[in-house]
Amino acid sequence: MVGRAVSRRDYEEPLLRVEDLVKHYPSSGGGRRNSQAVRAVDGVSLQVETAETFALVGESGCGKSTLGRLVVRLEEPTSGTVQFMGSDLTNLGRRQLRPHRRDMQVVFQNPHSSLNPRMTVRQIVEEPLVVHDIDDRIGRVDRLLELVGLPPAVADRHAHEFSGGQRQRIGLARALSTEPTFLLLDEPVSALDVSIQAQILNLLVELRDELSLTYFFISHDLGVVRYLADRVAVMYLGRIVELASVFDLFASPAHPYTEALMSAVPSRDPEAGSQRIILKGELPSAASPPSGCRFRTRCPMARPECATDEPELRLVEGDHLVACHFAEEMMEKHR
Amino acid sequence: MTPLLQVEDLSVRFTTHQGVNDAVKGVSFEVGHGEVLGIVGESASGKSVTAMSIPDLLPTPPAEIIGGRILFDERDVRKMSSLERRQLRGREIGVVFQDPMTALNSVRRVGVQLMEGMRYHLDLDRTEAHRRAVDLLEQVGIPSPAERMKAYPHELSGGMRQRVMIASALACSPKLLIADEPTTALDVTVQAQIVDMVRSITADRDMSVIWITHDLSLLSDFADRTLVMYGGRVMEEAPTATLFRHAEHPYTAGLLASIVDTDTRRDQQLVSIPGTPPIHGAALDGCPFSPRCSYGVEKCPSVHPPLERVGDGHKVACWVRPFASKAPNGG
Repeated sequence: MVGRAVSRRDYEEPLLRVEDLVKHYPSSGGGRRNSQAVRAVDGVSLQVETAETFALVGESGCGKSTLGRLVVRLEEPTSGTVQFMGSDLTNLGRRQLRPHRRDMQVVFQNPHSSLNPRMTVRQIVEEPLVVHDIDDRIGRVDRLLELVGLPPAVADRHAHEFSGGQRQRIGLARALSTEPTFLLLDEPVSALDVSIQAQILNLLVELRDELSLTYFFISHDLGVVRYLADRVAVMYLGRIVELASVFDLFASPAHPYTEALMSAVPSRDPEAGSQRIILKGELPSAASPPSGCRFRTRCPMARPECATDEPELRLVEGDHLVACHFAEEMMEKHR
Repeated sequence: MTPLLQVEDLSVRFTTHQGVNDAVKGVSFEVGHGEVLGIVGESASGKSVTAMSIPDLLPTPPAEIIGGRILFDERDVRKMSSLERRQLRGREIGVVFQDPMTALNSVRRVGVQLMEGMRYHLDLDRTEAHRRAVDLLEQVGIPSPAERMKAYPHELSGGMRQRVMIASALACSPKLLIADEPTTALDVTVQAQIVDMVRSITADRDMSVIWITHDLSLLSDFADRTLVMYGGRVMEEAPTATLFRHAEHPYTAGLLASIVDTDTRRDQQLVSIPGTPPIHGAALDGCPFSPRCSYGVEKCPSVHPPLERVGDGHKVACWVRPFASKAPNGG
């Protein structure tokens, strides 16, 4: 059995340290000279502690999936660093990266496209073990299937025979096969029916508690995030606009975007609709974000200085980080 | 006043090389003038098939309406000529799909597509159609509408395309708007914008709406009444407020309980419904929910319970009704 890159506690906390990460894509204009790069992720720093669930929320185009892919190095950053368990992943080659891959696994949103339909469940779950030369495979697939709530009998069937919820369980069994410490979960329940979502969320909580897993959880669903996460970062146009513990964030959102996002979530309470903040306008292009604060073109609080001074992500209270000039005013409102 | 739409005992069957699938079985409901009816259900519940059979938009084959009546404005849709049906679709019923690109032509300008329906159905000249199309785009919240008339669909964002699609559905001032998960693919802030816009436009024009969704919460402050479907059948129908407070069907209760929203308690395990929804519609003669129901009795899988009135506008199809005693309006 090939050893792990780093033994599990030979590094300084935190487990994951992301610093000033940037990912620019050449714009769809192709090779044209003046075409501007799409700034998918534009200067993001964050840390994830061992065994915490860190959630990244935001709407389509905010860069949350790109950030997730950069963190596990499915993409190369334009600049900035990703340190995982004390090692800088940004400068490692494929071979050097491999031992780290064992420790960081991924579960994707769409359980219909992320599993190879020609492979049996056993082959799917076993594949990472083969890739990482992990010998002790006998009985392991059965144990993994049991762990995610599937009977061993499913091992010889093909993934396409299963429903969305069951496929997501298979995806989890596969991700857990290398005994990772860190799981990137990219919208793992958004494609599932409502009655199935809760099953998978319960399973994620069980697994996290049982195996002390660290989750990097990407979602657009604030209800799910509030249920599962310990800390939450809110992204808008490639930047983190607010980062706080789940309690602080939901009790007193201090960025106008976070507040609008929360109020837009449909609620069981018909009264909630009357207080809904309807954002004006559309998400600006990530190739030419507005000057100053990126949210200002849609912000109900925007003032002249927002167009010129870009607000830094700063500590406002306790460990509550906000990138808004008027964060204190917002907080006052919730008291 | 007779309801605008009456659907009686509708059954739709799909026949493919994989076999026969009764996607919708014995579905009945009404939509009043100016009323918003929500239809909620998970995959394969038959909610879209039910709605699309009203304007005759099901592909036949494989689909076939094998029974039932659809009365629109007191006219039997199934007995209409194909010309009458085309007029019904374009003029009297507007339809919005989840993916606007199923209805918009990607190589034609938005304005041309908007004007086309009005010129055909309302017999307008170019100038008048153009004027009304610009008006419509403005009403659905598209900035600089006159310029956007010249845009191609791919030049617009998903939210903007959906607005164009809604404008086109509203173009001939239909009496009924059928919206099939129009906001499912959109972000929550865009969804809120669009729901808000549709609500105010349809209320202004006293238009009836059928809004299909998998998201029960979305209907809470929007739909007057809600129909809950599962496995091709109606499980429960009630005024939306009643449904949220006193759901009587075990499926509705389970669905409500498994919603994870920002009011869900963190310290508790989520309530989930065991098992998975049927891949096809009504495979059982009895209640399609019986394999997942914890309250079932012996006859549930074999005999389907009738949709019975249990209160004011409240109907439930369940032999057991385990939550009935809690409802003050029961019986």
